[in-house]
Amino acid sequence: MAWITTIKPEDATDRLAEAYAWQAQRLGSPTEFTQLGSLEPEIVHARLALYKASENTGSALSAREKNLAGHVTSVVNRTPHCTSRSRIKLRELGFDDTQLKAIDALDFTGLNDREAVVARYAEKLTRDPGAVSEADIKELRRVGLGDREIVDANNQVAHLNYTNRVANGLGLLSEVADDFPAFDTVPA
Amino acid sequence: MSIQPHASETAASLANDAGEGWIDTIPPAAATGSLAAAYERQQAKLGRVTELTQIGSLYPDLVEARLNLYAVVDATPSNVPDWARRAVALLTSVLNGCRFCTVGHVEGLTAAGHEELAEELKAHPDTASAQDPAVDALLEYTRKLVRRPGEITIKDVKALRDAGWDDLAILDVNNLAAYYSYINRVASGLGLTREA
Repeated sequence: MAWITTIKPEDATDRLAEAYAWQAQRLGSPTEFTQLGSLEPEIVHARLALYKASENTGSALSAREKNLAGHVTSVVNRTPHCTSRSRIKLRELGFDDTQLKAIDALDFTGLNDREAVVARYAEKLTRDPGAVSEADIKELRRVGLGDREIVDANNQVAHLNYTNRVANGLGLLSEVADDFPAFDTVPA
Repeated sequence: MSIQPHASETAASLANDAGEGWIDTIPPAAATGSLAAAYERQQAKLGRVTELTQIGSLYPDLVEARLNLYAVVDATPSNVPDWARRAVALLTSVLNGCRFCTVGHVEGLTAAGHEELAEELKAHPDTASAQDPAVDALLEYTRKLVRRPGEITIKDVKALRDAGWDDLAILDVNNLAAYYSYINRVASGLGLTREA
Protein backbone atom coordinates (compact mmCIF):
# COMPACT_ATOMS: atom_id res chain seq x y z
CA MET A 1 0.00 0.00 0.00
CA ALA A 2 2.22 2.88 1.18
CA TRP A 3 5.47 3.96 -0.45
CA ILE A 4 7.38 3.69 2.83
CA THR A 5 7.63 0.93 5.39
CA THR A 6 4.72 0.66 7.79
CA ILE A 7 4.16 -1.64 10.74
CA LYS A 8 1.11 -3.88 10.68
CA PRO A 9 -1.13 -4.09 13.74
CA GLU A 10 -0.05 -7.67 14.47
CA ASP A 11 3.60 -6.60 14.50
CA ALA A 12 3.18 -3.49 16.65
CA THR A 13 4.68 -3.31 20.14
CA ASP A 14 4.88 -0.86 23.03
CA ARG A 15 3.81 2.72 22.23
CA LEU A 16 2.76 1.89 18.69
CA ALA A 17 0.58 -0.98 19.92
CA GLU A 18 -0.99 1.41 22.44
CA ALA A 19 -1.82 3.93 19.73
CA TYR A 20 -3.25 1.27 17.45
CA ALA A 21 -5.35 -0.11 20.32
CA TRP A 22 -6.69 3.35 21.08
CA GLN A 23 -8.16 3.73 17.61
CA ALA A 24 -9.24 0.10 17.53
CA GLN A 25 -11.47 0.60 20.58
CA ARG A 26 -14.15 2.08 18.34
CA LEU A 27 -13.12 1.02 14.86
CA GLY A 28 -11.86 -2.50 15.53
CA SER A 29 -8.48 -1.76 13.96
CA PRO A 30 -6.19 1.20 13.24
CA THR A 31 -6.83 2.90 9.90
CA GLU A 32 -4.44 2.68 6.98
CA PHE A 33 -3.82 6.37 7.50
CA THR A 34 -2.77 5.81 11.11
CA GLN A 35 -0.34 3.11 10.02
CA LEU A 36 1.43 5.55 7.68
CA GLY A 37 3.20 7.13 10.66
CA SER A 38 4.17 3.89 12.34
CA LEU A 39 7.94 4.29 12.02
CA GLU A 40 7.61 7.00 14.68
CA PRO A 41 4.98 5.94 17.25
CA GLU A 42 4.90 9.35 18.94
CA ILE A 43 3.73 10.89 15.67
CA VAL A 44 0.93 8.34 15.56
CA HIS A 45 -0.14 9.27 19.11
CA ALA A 46 0.04 13.00 18.47
CA ARG A 47 -1.95 12.74 15.25
CA LEU A 48 -4.69 10.72 16.93
CA ALA A 49 -4.87 13.21 19.82
CA LEU A 50 -5.19 16.11 17.40
CA TYR A 51 -7.83 14.23 15.42
CA LYS A 52 -9.84 13.60 18.58
CA ALA A 53 -9.60 17.26 19.66
CA SER A 54 -10.51 18.46 16.18
CA GLU A 55 -13.60 16.29 15.98
CA ASN A 56 -14.83 17.05 19.50
CA THR A 57 -14.85 20.84 19.58
CA GLY A 58 -18.58 20.93 20.22
CA SER A 59 -19.13 24.19 18.36
CA ALA A 60 -22.46 25.11 16.84
CA LEU A 61 -21.09 24.31 13.40
CA SER A 62 -23.39 21.56 12.17
CA ALA A 63 -22.04 18.13 11.31
CA ARG A 64 -23.00 18.82 7.70
CA GLU A 65 -21.05 22.08 7.64
CA LYS A 66 -18.01 20.67 9.39
CA ASN A 67 -17.74 17.60 7.19
CA LEU A 68 -18.47 19.67 4.10
CA ALA A 69 -15.49 21.89 4.96
CA GLY A 70 -13.29 18.83 5.29
CA HIS A 71 -14.56 17.23 2.11
CA VAL A 72 -14.08 20.37 0.00
CA THR A 73 -10.51 20.55 1.29
CA SER A 74 -9.79 16.99 0.24
CA VAL A 75 -11.38 17.57 -3.15
CA VAL A 76 -9.28 20.68 -3.82
CA ASN A 77 -6.17 18.76 -2.78
CA ARG A 78 -7.19 15.82 -5.01
CA THR A 79 -6.91 13.26 -2.25
CA PRO A 80 -8.73 10.07 -3.26
CA HIS A 81 -8.44 8.29 0.09
CA CYS A 82 -9.66 11.20 2.19
CA THR A 83 -12.48 12.14 -0.20
CA SER A 84 -13.72 8.56 -0.22
CA ARG A 85 -14.03 8.71 3.58
CA SER A 86 -15.65 12.14 3.77
CA ARG A 87 -18.05 11.33 0.92
CA ILE A 88 -19.46 8.50 3.04
CA LYS A 89 -20.00 10.94 5.90
CA LEU A 90 -21.72 13.52 3.71
CA ARG A 91 -23.99 10.85 2.30
CA GLU A 92 -24.94 9.72 5.81
CA LEU A 93 -25.58 13.37 6.71
CA GLY A 94 -28.17 13.70 3.97
CA PHE A 95 -26.41 14.98 0.86
CA ASP A 96 -27.77 13.16 -2.19
CA ASP A 97 -25.77 11.96 -5.19
CA THR A 98 -26.59 15.02 -7.28
CA GLN A 99 -25.40 17.33 -4.54
CA LEU A 100 -22.26 15.25 -3.95
CA LYS A 101 -21.42 15.32 -7.64
CA ALA A 102 -21.74 19.11 -7.65
CA ILE A 103 -19.63 19.48 -4.49
CA ASP A 104 -16.96 17.23 -6.00
CA ALA A 105 -16.88 19.67 -8.95
CA LEU A 106 -16.63 22.56 -6.45
CA ASP A 107 -20.03 23.82 -7.53
CA PHE A 108 -21.73 25.11 -4.37
CA THR A 109 -24.80 26.67 -5.98
CA GLY A 110 -27.08 23.88 -4.75
CA LEU A 111 -26.18 24.42 -1.09
CA ASN A 112 -27.93 26.73 1.33
CA ASP A 113 -26.29 30.09 1.94
CA ARG A 114 -24.50 29.12 5.14
CA GLU A 115 -23.14 25.85 3.78
CA ALA A 116 -22.00 27.55 0.59
CA VAL A 117 -20.10 30.22 2.55
CA VAL A 118 -18.36 27.55 4.63
CA ALA A 119 -17.50 25.61 1.47
CA ARG A 120 -16.06 28.70 -0.22
CA TYR A 121 -13.93 29.48 2.85
CA ALA A 122 -12.61 25.90 2.74
CA GLU A 123 -11.76 26.17 -0.94
CA LYS A 124 -9.98 29.52 -0.56
CA LEU A 125 -8.06 28.59 2.59
CA THR A 126 -6.90 25.40 0.91
CA ARG A 127 -6.05 26.79 -2.50
CA ASP A 128 -4.57 30.14 -1.56
CA PRO A 129 -4.18 30.58 2.20
CA GLY A 130 -2.24 33.81 1.83
CA ALA A 131 -5.20 35.44 0.10
CA VAL A 132 -7.66 34.91 2.96
CA SER A 133 -8.74 38.26 4.34
CA GLU A 134 -10.92 39.63 7.09
CA ALA A 135 -13.69 39.98 4.50
CA ASP A 136 -13.82 36.18 4.32
CA ILE A 137 -14.29 35.99 8.09
CA LYS A 138 -16.99 38.67 7.94
CA GLU A 139 -18.75 36.56 5.36
CA LEU A 140 -18.71 33.61 7.79
CA ARG A 141 -20.14 35.88 10.47
CA ARG A 142 -22.83 37.15 8.10
CA VAL A 143 -24.28 33.65 7.83
CA GLY A 144 -24.26 33.18 11.58
CA LEU A 145 -20.93 31.69 12.54
CA GLY A 146 -19.52 32.95 15.82
CA ASP A 147 -15.92 32.90 16.95
CA ARG A 148 -16.06 29.28 18.12
CA GLU A 149 -17.55 28.10 14.84
CA ILE A 150 -14.95 30.06 12.85
CA VAL A 151 -12.08 28.53 14.81
CA ASP A 152 -13.68 25.12 14.30
CA ALA A 153 -14.10 25.58 10.54
CA ASN A 154 -10.59 26.95 10.19
CA ASN A 155 -9.14 24.02 12.10
CA GLN A 156 -11.12 21.49 10.11
CA VAL A 157 -9.80 22.84 6.82
CA ALA A 158 -6.26 23.34 8.10
CA HIS A 159 -6.17 19.88 9.66
CA LEU A 160 -7.33 18.21 6.45
CA ASN A 161 -4.61 20.10 4.61
CA TYR A 162 -2.24 18.25 6.93
CA THR A 163 -3.75 14.79 6.60
CA ASN A 164 -4.29 15.10 2.83
CA ARG A 165 -0.58 15.66 2.38
CA VAL A 166 0.32 12.74 4.62
CA ALA A 167 -1.94 10.41 2.62
CA ASN A 168 -1.02 11.57 -0.87
CA GLY A 169 2.61 12.19 -0.05
CA LEU A 170 3.25 8.68 1.24
CA GLY A 171 1.15 6.75 -1.24
CA LEU A 172 -2.19 6.11 0.47
CA LEU A 173 -4.27 6.59 -2.66
CA SER A 174 -6.80 3.78 -2.30
CA GLU A 175 -10.48 4.52 -1.73
CA VAL A 176 -12.35 2.96 1.18
CA ALA A 177 -15.34 0.71 0.49
CA ASP A 178 -18.82 2.23 0.56
CA ASP A 179 -19.62 0.46 3.85
CA PHE A 180 -16.53 1.80 5.65
CA PRO A 181 -17.58 3.10 9.11
CA ALA A 182 -16.23 6.58 8.45
CA PHE A 183 -17.55 8.11 11.67
CA ASP A 184 -15.87 5.50 13.85
CA THR A 185 -12.29 6.46 13.03
CA VAL A 186 -12.12 9.15 15.72
CA PRO A 187 -10.41 7.63 18.76
CA ALA A 188 -12.45 7.30 21.94
CA MET B 1 16.93 21.26 18.07
CA SER B 2 14.02 23.55 17.65
CA ILE B 3 12.45 24.81 14.49
CA GLN B 4 10.24 27.12 16.53
CA PRO B 5 7.27 27.50 14.22
CA HIS B 6 5.74 29.78 16.76
CA ALA B 7 8.85 31.91 16.92
CA SER B 8 7.55 33.96 14.04
CA GLU B 9 6.63 36.35 16.76
CA THR B 10 9.70 38.43 17.27
CA ALA B 11 10.30 40.88 20.06
CA ALA B 12 8.51 43.57 18.08
CA SER B 13 5.32 41.57 18.14
CA LEU B 14 5.32 40.81 21.83
CA ALA B 15 3.64 44.10 22.53
CA ASN B 16 0.76 42.65 20.58
CA ASP B 17 0.42 39.43 22.51
CA ALA B 18 -3.21 40.20 23.23
CA GLY B 19 -3.52 39.11 19.61
CA GLU B 20 -4.61 40.88 16.49
CA GLY B 21 -6.43 38.04 14.82
CA TRP B 22 -9.99 38.25 13.55
CA ILE B 23 -11.47 36.25 16.41
CA ASP B 24 -11.62 36.33 20.20
CA THR B 25 -8.78 34.75 22.07
CA ILE B 26 -8.13 34.16 25.76
CA PRO B 27 -4.98 35.92 27.02
CA PRO B 28 -2.74 34.09 29.50
CA ALA B 29 -3.93 36.24 32.40
CA ALA B 30 -7.51 35.10 31.85
CA ALA B 31 -6.82 31.41 31.20
CA THR B 32 -8.05 28.75 33.60
CA GLY B 33 -8.05 24.95 33.82
CA SER B 34 -6.48 22.95 31.02
CA LEU B 35 -5.89 26.07 28.89
CA ALA B 36 -3.87 27.62 31.71
CA ALA B 37 -1.92 24.38 32.03
CA ALA B 38 -1.13 24.33 28.29
CA TYR B 39 -0.11 27.97 28.37
CA GLU B 40 2.13 27.32 31.37
CA ARG B 41 3.93 24.53 29.55
CA GLN B 42 4.73 26.81 26.63
CA GLN B 43 5.64 29.64 28.99
CA ALA B 44 8.12 27.34 30.70
CA LYS B 45 9.66 26.30 27.40
CA LEU B 46 9.70 29.57 25.45
CA GLY B 47 9.32 32.18 28.14
CA ARG B 48 6.02 33.35 26.67
CA VAL B 49 2.76 32.16 25.18
CA THR B 50 2.71 32.80 21.45
CA GLU B 51 -0.09 34.39 19.47
CA LEU B 52 -0.36 31.27 17.38
CA THR B 53 -1.06 29.25 20.50
CA GLN B 54 -3.61 31.76 21.74
CA ILE B 55 -5.48 31.82 18.44
CA GLY B 56 -6.92 28.38 19.27
CA SER B 57 -7.74 29.24 22.85
CA LEU B 58 -11.52 28.91 22.54
CA TYR B 59 -10.74 25.17 22.48
CA PRO B 60 -8.22 24.25 25.19
CA ASP B 61 -8.03 20.63 24.04
CA LEU B 62 -7.06 21.83 20.58
CA VAL B 63 -4.35 24.07 22.01
CA GLU B 64 -2.94 21.14 23.93
CA ALA B 65 -3.09 18.77 20.95
CA ARG B 66 -1.38 21.29 18.68
CA LEU B 67 1.41 21.94 21.17
CA ASN B 68 1.85 18.24 21.69
CA LEU B 69 2.05 17.59 17.95
CA TYR B 70 4.54 20.40 17.52
CA ALA B 71 6.78 18.91 20.20
CA VAL B 72 6.66 15.54 18.44
CA VAL B 73 7.31 17.03 15.00
CA ASP B 74 10.25 18.90 16.42
CA ALA B 75 11.72 15.80 18.04
CA THR B 76 11.37 13.32 15.18
CA PRO B 77 14.56 11.23 15.33
CA SER B 78 15.37 11.12 11.63
CA ASN B 79 18.76 11.72 10.06
CA VAL B 80 17.61 14.87 8.25
CA PRO B 81 19.93 17.60 9.53
CA ASP B 82 18.45 20.35 11.65
CA TRP B 83 19.15 23.09 9.11
CA ALA B 84 17.49 21.08 6.32
CA ARG B 85 14.38 20.61 8.47
CA ARG B 86 14.30 24.37 9.04
CA ALA B 87 14.64 24.91 5.29
CA VAL B 88 11.63 22.64 4.65
CA ALA B 89 9.58 24.53 7.25
CA LEU B 90 10.51 27.89 5.72
CA LEU B 91 9.89 26.79 2.15
CA THR B 92 6.44 25.45 3.09
CA SER B 93 5.49 28.73 4.77
CA VAL B 94 6.71 30.83 1.83
CA LEU B 95 4.83 28.69 -0.70
CA ASN B 96 1.69 28.96 1.41
CA GLY B 97 1.98 32.74 1.48
CA CYS B 98 2.15 32.79 5.27
CA ARG B 99 4.06 36.01 5.95
CA PHE B 100 3.57 35.64 9.69
CA CYS B 101 5.22 32.19 9.75
CA THR B 102 7.87 33.07 7.17
CA VAL B 103 9.56 35.67 9.33
CA GLY B 104 10.18 33.25 12.18
CA HIS B 105 11.43 30.51 9.90
CA VAL B 106 13.85 32.89 8.17
CA GLU B 107 15.19 33.68 11.63
CA GLY B 108 15.40 29.99 12.45
CA LEU B 109 17.36 29.03 9.35
CA THR B 110 19.58 32.08 9.71
CA ALA B 111 20.31 31.13 13.30
CA ALA B 112 21.36 27.70 12.03
CA GLY B 113 24.01 29.40 9.89
CA HIS B 114 22.21 29.46 6.55
CA GLU B 115 21.24 33.09 6.09
CA GLU B 116 21.87 33.06 2.35
CA LEU B 117 19.63 30.05 1.81
CA ALA B 118 16.95 31.61 4.00
CA GLU B 119 16.85 34.74 1.90
CA GLU B 120 16.98 32.71 -1.30
CA LEU B 121 14.05 30.51 -0.24
CA LYS B 122 12.04 33.57 0.71
CA ALA B 123 12.74 35.41 -2.54
CA HIS B 124 12.77 32.49 -4.98
CA PRO B 125 10.93 29.53 -3.42
CA ASP B 126 10.50 27.76 -6.75
CA THR B 127 14.15 27.64 -7.67
CA ALA B 128 16.24 28.15 -4.52
CA SER B 129 19.00 25.58 -4.07
CA ALA B 130 20.69 24.45 -0.88
CA GLN B 131 23.80 23.62 -2.94
CA ASP B 132 23.47 20.10 -1.54
CA PRO B 133 21.85 17.49 -3.81
CA ALA B 134 20.34 15.48 -0.96
CA VAL B 135 18.75 18.53 0.65
CA ASP B 136 17.63 19.85 -2.72
CA ALA B 137 15.71 16.59 -3.14
CA LEU B 138 13.86 17.34 0.10
CA LEU B 139 13.06 20.84 -1.14
CA GLU B 140 11.79 19.52 -4.46
CA TYR B 141 9.47 17.03 -2.72
CA THR B 142 8.25 19.83 -0.44
CA ARG B 143 7.45 22.12 -3.37
CA LYS B 144 5.28 19.52 -5.01
CA LEU B 145 3.59 18.33 -1.82
CA VAL B 146 2.70 21.86 -0.75
CA ARG B 147 1.61 23.21 -4.12
CA ARG B 148 0.25 20.15 -5.92
CA PRO B 149 -0.47 17.38 -3.42
CA GLY B 150 -2.66 15.62 -5.98
CA GLU B 151 0.24 15.08 -8.32
CA ILE B 152 2.73 13.34 -6.05
CA THR B 153 3.67 9.89 -7.30
CA ILE B 154 5.91 7.06 -6.20
CA LYS B 155 8.62 8.59 -8.41
CA ASP B 156 8.79 11.59 -6.09
CA VAL B 157 9.45 9.30 -3.14
CA LYS B 158 11.93 7.28 -5.17
CA ALA B 159 13.81 10.52 -5.89
CA LEU B 160 14.21 10.96 -2.13
CA ARG B 161 15.55 7.42 -1.77
CA ASP B 162 17.90 7.94 -4.69
CA ALA B 163 19.21 11.02 -2.91
CA GLY B 164 20.10 8.83 0.07
CA TRP B 165 17.18 9.32 2.43
CA ASP B 166 15.75 6.37 4.36
CA ASP B 167 12.09 5.75 5.19
CA LEU B 168 12.14 7.62 8.50
CA ALA B 169 13.64 10.65 6.78
CA ILE B 170 10.91 10.47 4.13
CA LEU B 171 8.28 10.22 6.86
CA ASP B 172 9.89 13.23 8.53
CA VAL B 173 9.99 15.53 5.49
CA ASN B 174 6.45 14.56 4.55
CA ASN B 175 5.29 15.29 8.11
CA LEU B 176 7.12 18.62 8.26
CA ALA B 177 5.66 19.96 5.02
CA ALA B 178 2.20 18.64 5.90
CA TYR B 179 2.30 19.98 9.47
CA TYR B 180 3.31 23.48 8.38
CA SER B 181 0.64 23.39 5.68
CA TYR B 182 -1.72 23.00 8.66
CA ILE B 183 -0.21 25.68 10.88
CA ASN B 184 0.19 28.17 8.03
CA ARG B 185 -3.56 27.96 7.46
CA VAL B 186 -4.38 28.42 11.13
CA ALA B 187 -2.34 31.65 11.08
CA SER B 188 -3.43 32.99 7.70
CA GLY B 189 -7.02 31.87 8.08
CA LEU B 190 -7.66 33.58 11.42
CA GLY B 191 -5.91 36.85 10.92
CA LEU B 192 -2.25 36.45 11.89
CA THR B 193 -1.38 37.99 8.56
CA ARG B 194 1.18 40.68 9.17
CA GLU B 195 4.91 40.09 8.94
CA ALA B 196 5.65 39.25 12.54
